[in-house]
Amino acid sequence: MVPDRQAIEIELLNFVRARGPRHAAVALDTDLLESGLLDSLMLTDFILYIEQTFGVQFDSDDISPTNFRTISAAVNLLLNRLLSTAQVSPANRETLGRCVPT
Amino acid sequence: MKWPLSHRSIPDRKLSLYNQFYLYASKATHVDHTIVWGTEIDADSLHVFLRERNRDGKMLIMPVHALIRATALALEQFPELNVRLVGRRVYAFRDVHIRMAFLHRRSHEIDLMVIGPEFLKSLEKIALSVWDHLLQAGRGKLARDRDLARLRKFSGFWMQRIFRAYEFLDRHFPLPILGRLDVTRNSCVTVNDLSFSGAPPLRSYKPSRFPSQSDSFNLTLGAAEKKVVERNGQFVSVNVIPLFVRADHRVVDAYQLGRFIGVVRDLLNNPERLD
Repeated sequence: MVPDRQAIEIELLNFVRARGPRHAAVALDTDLLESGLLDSLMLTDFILYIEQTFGVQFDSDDISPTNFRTISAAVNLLLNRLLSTAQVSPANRETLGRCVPT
Repeated sequence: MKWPLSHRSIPDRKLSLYNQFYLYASKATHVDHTIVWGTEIDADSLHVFLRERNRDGKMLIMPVHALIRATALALEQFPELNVRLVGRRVYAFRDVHIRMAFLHRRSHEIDLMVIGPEFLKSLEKIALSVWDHLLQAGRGKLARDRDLARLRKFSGFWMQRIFRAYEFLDRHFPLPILGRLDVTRNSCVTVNDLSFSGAPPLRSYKPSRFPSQSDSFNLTLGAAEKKVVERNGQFVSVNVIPLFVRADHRVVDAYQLGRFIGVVRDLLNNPERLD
């Protein structure tokens, strides 16, 4: 079953905010690249955390600025990946799909 | 099995006199052949460049990827620095490879990766290679990790003897690359990124040297910092990135090293030249 968007957002926000005082004020739409909060160590941890928590796997091709500029963008990527692999009913897919820009 | 070095060593007549002075110094003198050179990169121009590249790019590019590319380009410009010591002979590497230190998220240890010439052609390829390696390592799926796990099964007694025997051979003979464990010898330079979140500012840094003597150079980046400088009679605040270089005086002198660092620095200050 695909977890709902809000639960994913809270999970990922908590992970990023726990990185340290500089990350404590991060919001869903904070530009992690512009603010200099995203370094290679953090991004690797972030991706591995998502993979372990939600049982998905990303390719290195997925590590694009678009997909990891904000937490919201990372949630979109994750939901897309979950939707493409999960057995989702047509009604549920429609509901979740509305949250995911294509 | 690959042979990373040229078959013949570089003849002494092609080495500078001072390099030979260090090269042939008696061990009894305990001579220090390490040169350390610290400089700064204009972080503002590099960040502007990366911001533009990351705006619509397909691959997320970080400052360390730019350093890898700049180092590869500088080594192509100064092939006489793409060398290592074997015994008291200097051998040239056949190709440019860059070795990078990284924190292995699975084993929580520092490990090394090597970026080959096929990936050093562009920033995107370098980023792809580095990200792929970091993710595979974090998932515990690197083939090299399986070899390291086998190595760890040896007791401390045998591990000590294996290391000593291997290092002796590597120090005295131009060995081939046999597998995934010793592939990291296939580069004269190690690149280090110490700009991670929470790292203190770098004021000075002298990285240690591998016992194998294969890393003639080490380039380490620190985190960007603000600094007040005078420009056109005005004091302005700029961002700078510290860059520390460690080199071996037996293969390079301060003049050659200064020119090499100058090229790396110039490329990072004018990052559009990295393309």
